[in-house]
Amino acid sequence: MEKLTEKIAAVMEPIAEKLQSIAFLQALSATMMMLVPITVCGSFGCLLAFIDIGPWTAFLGTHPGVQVFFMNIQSWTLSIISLYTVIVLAVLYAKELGYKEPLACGVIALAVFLQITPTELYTAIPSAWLGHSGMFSAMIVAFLVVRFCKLCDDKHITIKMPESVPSFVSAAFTALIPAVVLIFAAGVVGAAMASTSFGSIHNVIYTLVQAPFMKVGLSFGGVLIEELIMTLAMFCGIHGSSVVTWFTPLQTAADAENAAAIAAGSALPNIWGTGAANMVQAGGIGATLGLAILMVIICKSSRYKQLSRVAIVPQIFNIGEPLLFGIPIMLNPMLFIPYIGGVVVNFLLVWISIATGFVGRPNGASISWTLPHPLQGLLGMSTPVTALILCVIILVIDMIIWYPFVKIIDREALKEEQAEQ
Amino acid sequence: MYNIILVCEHGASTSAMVTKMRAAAEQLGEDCEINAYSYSKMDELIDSADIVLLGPQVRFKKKTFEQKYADKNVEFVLIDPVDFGTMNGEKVVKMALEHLKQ
Repeated sequence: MEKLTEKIAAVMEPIAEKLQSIAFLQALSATMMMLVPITVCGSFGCLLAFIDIGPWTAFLGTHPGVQVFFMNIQSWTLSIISLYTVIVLAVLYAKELGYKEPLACGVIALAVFLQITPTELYTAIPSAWLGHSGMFSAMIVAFLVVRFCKLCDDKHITIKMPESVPSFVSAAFTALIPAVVLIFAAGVVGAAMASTSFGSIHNVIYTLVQAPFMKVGLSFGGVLIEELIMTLAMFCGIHGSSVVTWFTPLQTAADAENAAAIAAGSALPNIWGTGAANMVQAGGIGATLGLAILMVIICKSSRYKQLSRVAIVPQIFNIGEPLLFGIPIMLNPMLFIPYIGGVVVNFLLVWISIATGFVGRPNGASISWTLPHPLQGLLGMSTPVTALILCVIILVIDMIIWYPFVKIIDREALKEEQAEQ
Repeated sequence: MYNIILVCEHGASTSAMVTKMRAAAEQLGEDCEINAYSYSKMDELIDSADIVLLGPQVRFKKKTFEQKYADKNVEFVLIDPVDFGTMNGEKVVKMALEHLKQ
């Protein structure tokens, strides 16, 4: 067992380092983080417009203007999330690569994205591809635009200004050549695709890349693997989010799809979403809230008693590091079983509860991960009451899983303390 | 006055640490500015920092940062996992000050 944990650590650390050194993934996760205010506002707009609570629904029925107000908030945030993504991702990716005009990349990426989007000339931009369906397009556009700008700069394909021209003037010309090339090329692609049966390059990317990727990534096996990798990394003492950056766009798209389905009044397409994810990882990655509560109640050794008092408050807000490093759980062969096992059990509970319909699918709200566990279920799922019940069940089961292990480590610590006296 | 910066994934668990460290610094009579951030903000933080402490869960960033900011004369130090887990503000402050006063 000890050898196994060492092996896992030996594999995990370089992977985390490698993934962290990929500039695009770095920029992608920074983008998702930066867009949290937008997705949170959008989620609450959606929630308030469509949440099914008797008196509120009746109120909205008699005051349609109020519902439209909330729908508007959703429509200018979540429903056009790809527009935000393409701008911010291009800027942050350009920054990561050390390109000197990152803002120019953001603007060009937006222009290119719109250029390949089917529109009604001078009158309207249909939002069909501006939301979750355009997510991968936005990522690809941002990537290509930044790469091309950087390439032009590296090869000195720029308009040379005389030395005497002030730098802010010449800066405007740095991105001029790539901008002209990219926007015109995008125009050609847009026009060419319009005559095919796909209709747009967005549709090609969605059908050939995004849809299959989401289908696999958001399947039972796909999500289980992602949750396992994340928890394993944490077990090795490496923050779990840093090794699953590739999953973030999938979950964001899944959320946006479910929110859109709620707005449209149709069946929710995805079992997985932020609400479900946060229910599984009860107390942050590694699901240690149950453990913290259990330790506060049953620990007798002063070591764990003190630790649990320090740990319980951050733990309520899903910060598990005090227990991870304090017990420590990290690379502790004995605690590998409850740590990973707990997450697997939670995952099975949540997935089966949703699949069987006991708990409604995630409502697509992007709930901040720092909200206490029961609120995650209450606000993140389409059936708040049963989700809350499931949250409680998860906590109790996690406590049962941890109980024998906490007993053992506490008894050992107690023996040591008595021996010292 | 020293500007001590702590970083981790979101700047969440380190912010719990910061509270403990501030109290400890005050007791020691040391004038320190101590704050926690996400490591993604490092570009903006590095110039004002006197020392950067990394949470153990982002230890893999140490090498990257040391290379990237080699010209900045700022030391990157890992927080001991046990001190971090037990939120031992006093020990971590003392450790940081030792590095700073070297």
